[in-house]
Amino acid sequence: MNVSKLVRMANQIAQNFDVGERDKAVAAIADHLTRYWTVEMKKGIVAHLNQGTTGLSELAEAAIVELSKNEAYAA
Amino acid sequence: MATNYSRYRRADDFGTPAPVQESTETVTLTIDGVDISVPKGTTVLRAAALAGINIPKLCATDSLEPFGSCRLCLVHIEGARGMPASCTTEAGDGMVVTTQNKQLADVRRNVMELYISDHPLDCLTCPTNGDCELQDMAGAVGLRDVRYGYAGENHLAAEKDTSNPYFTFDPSKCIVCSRCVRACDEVQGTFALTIDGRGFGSKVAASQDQPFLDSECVSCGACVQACPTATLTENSLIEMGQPEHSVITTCAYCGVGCSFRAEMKGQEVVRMVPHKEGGANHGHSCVKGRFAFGYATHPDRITTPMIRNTIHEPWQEVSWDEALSFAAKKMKGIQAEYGQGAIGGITSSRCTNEETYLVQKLVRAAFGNNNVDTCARVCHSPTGYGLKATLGESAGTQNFDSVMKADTIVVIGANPTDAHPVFGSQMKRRLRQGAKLIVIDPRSTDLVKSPHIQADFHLPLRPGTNVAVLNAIAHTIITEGLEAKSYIDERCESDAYQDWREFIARPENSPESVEQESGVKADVIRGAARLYANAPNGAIYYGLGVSEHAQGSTTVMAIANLAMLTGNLGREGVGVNPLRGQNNVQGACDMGSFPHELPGYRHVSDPAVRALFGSEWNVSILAEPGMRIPNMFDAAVAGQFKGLYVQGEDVAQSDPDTQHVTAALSALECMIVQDLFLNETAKFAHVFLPGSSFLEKDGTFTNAERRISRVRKVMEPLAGLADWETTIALAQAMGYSMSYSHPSEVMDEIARLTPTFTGVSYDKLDALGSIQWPCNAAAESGTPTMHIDEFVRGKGLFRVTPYVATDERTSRKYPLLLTTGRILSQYNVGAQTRRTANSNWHDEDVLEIHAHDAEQRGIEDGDWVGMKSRAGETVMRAVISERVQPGVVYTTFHHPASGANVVTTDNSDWATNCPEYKVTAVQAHKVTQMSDWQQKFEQFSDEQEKFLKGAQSVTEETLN
Ligand code: SF4
Ligand code: SF4
Ligand code: SF4
Ligand code: FES
Repeated sequence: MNVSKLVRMANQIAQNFDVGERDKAVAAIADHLTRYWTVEMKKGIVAHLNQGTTGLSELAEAAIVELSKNEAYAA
Repeated sequence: MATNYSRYRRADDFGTPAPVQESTETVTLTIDGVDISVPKGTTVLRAAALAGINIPKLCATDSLEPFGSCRLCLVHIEGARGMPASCTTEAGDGMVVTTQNKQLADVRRNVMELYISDHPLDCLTCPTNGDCELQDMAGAVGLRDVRYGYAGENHLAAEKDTSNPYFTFDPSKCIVCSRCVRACDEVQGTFALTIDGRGFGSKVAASQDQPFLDSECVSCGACVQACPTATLTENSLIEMGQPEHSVITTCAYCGVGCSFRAEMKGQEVVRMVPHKEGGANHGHSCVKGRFAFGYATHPDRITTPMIRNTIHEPWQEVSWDEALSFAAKKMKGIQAEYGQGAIGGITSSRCTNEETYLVQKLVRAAFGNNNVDTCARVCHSPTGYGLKATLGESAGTQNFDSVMKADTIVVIGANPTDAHPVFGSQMKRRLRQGAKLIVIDPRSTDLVKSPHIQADFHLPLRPGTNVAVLNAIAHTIITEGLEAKSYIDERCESDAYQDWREFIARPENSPESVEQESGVKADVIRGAARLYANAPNGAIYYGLGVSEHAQGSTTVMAIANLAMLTGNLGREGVGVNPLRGQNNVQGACDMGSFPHELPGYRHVSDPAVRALFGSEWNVSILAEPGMRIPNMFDAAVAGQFKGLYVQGEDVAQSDPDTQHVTAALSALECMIVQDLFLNETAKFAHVFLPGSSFLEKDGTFTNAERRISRVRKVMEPLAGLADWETTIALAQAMGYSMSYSHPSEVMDEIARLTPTFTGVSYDKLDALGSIQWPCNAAAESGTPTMHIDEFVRGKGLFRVTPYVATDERTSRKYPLLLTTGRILSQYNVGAQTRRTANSNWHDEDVLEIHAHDAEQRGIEDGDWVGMKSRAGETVMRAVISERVQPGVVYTTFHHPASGANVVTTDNSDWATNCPEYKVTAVQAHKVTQMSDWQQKFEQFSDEQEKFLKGAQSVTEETLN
């Protein structure tokens, strides 16, 4: 799937959790992706982490690092 | 199964409505020697009818307040002087009433004599012969002679008004009882009719004595139903004569879910009459449900299955078996080549619960993946997400009747008088009784100002700023100390509340800070906040103007926050109420149509839930969510998704960014469309399976109040199979067996597997009429009001709702904001309503534009206007309108060629990907020809029409 679309969606999700404590926000974003994205989308965005410039916001990127800890979504 | 049919007779009429205040106090009186106890406030006429004693009457009917004009219902009451009218006399304790004696008979006969002297005597050829109250009363009073003769001055030559396509007004038959006028005022709330003139010269007139079609009349038919004579009569009845049996069923148009009596002659519908016992509509309906059923037998219906190898070749008509095995072979071939996840399905919010359930079961069990989604994705998916997150259940909290106890009503992004007309009428009734009204909407909708209604506050916010405005309302409530402290302490999670409180109190959320961004004056926001917070009962109603935004889910959560903050949840008269678009959106969501949820909103990652369904279905269910509709389209464009089964949806017209959607559909190797018509989506299909209308099948719909109502079959499926049977056959062809002999067995399975449906069965639905889920051991006959003692999730959860401006911003290139909506006479993509006489009211989509913006661009009313966004361009006719603010333009999307969705973008709600239909930055300019897209669309449509005609003529040739 088109990775730039995934990046756009991840950034949008992150923006909407961007209040309050950072740890909570990161966990909430990772949880949202886990619950609503397909495996392929999760794998796609995790794989994209290894690109130099991801286009991801700092918060979104932190959440995807969190997501990548799940082996099922490893690239 | 017992038959659904009952012998035709006129619905019972108790003469006057039940008293409004359900008092526990009763009075006992004697009528013609019979003792009867009735609630205090009941009229003598109604008390008698309840005792089975029918006092003659003409101007009274139990849907309207008594009027006391015809003098036919006179009675004697011991100790009272004269002959009071029983319809306007309240029953008193110990009253002794006589309804029949010589003196009363004489007076009644005289009254009838006067009526009949000015009435044509063509009963034998009159359309209402056999079902006319005037005729009945003449019989009841024993009228034998008309002493005045018929030669005097009369109205017998008055001309008929046949302007309305659905009913005829024949004033020569009018007895000026004013039931029609009262129905239009009291029931519908449109105030289109008046009694013009006085005495003998008086007559019924629509608006300024105009033809009905040109008047303010919205064709709801309440006056037709109320008329005791043939003056106002359905054209279908005039054509066909009296029905012989009737069947109770449910409207298949909008989320109000009106209950109807389908009045039948054999397998033909004579008319649809709203059912008085209907829990959602209490005997009222709108133009769509009552009149626009002709699409079901329209010649465009396709009744033979068709197949083709590519979308660039003609269709071929085939047998059901051939079509199904062709489809199954293709789908399995795709899975073999591209993987199990390369196919999916879309369930329909127009089909029944049972049908929707079967489609998601087919996907999860026979396709072996979770790639199932539904059109609620594009309308109310944020409601599911937002209400589940905060309150614990993905549904509205009240029944419709609750509005009658609301003191302040807040309507956000909804236009109930057009989109949910019967509920709109009920809301207006409450407003006329004095409830306060706050409207939050970019447009000045009908509710903002209409006869006898005026909003106390209208917040005409800039599209896309809902969250900012709702946050400012909450900010006002908090900073002015208007919150319901003890309610919050008792019922909500306190840590989350403290976090939220800290957030909402920030200065950036004050009305003054958001004034600039939202375009709403700070003092208006503050006034509205106080009015809602201080109301004993405050109720919020919202529609697609809330959900169809980049922050749709956030807005829903902000609404739930407001209701918790003010203690407005858990009793009658309050609540958070999504107004659902299509008839069965609620049901489709309940039935597990979302890729991440099994029926009853249970996430697929829950092993216990998967095990439960897995063992019933004999499969193992995947633990990872499947694709949403936009994911499917993206994957199709990327070449990873190849097969799609679409039941009763028209994604090619209804989904945003049409050009992206058609690119995706064109990339599919097998699309199976099941529908009544060759809709826009079917033009990209390889297999067409004929669908069945709501008249052709048994099942249930669930309306916006969670009310499950029966849909009952009144005619055989035109194509031989009902939709649920087709899905079963497709599963079978794919090698997965489903064995049900009736939809009731599907409901039994749903009840077995879903805790909120445990107590639901067809037998119980037959007994109770309808049931609001949850229905289980804790609530045997259903749940009209939710969250009474505690929230479904336990404690209510305040969710922090930061305002994030949408990416879709105006610029020099795209300076206007387009927002979309719908209108009364058309429904959704219009595939049904466009095939009825409803097109008399709306035969094209138009662009509403403010005079100021029009003038700047040299656009005049009626000009062709090109509208261009970042996604595409289309052309429509302009209408200069005061309803939109400068800078905002508005259109509807009921007609495919207008291409409103060519312009809408792929922006969507962050949480659910519900498209941002309500905000698109556009430019508008005068043009002389259709857009490129429209020209291509026309070409493609013509070609597809030919492919269809080709199939039909080839078959005819081989048959001849
Ligand atoms: S049109 Fe029918 S309901 Fe209206 S005043 Fe005449 S008879 Fe009565
Ligand atoms: S059809 Fe409805 S809106 Fe029209 S005049 Fe009759 S009651 Fe009024
Ligand atoms: S369209 Fe809606 S309001 Fe109209 S009759 Fe049907 S369910 Fe009722
Ligand atoms: S029915 Fe009572 S006065 Fe007409």
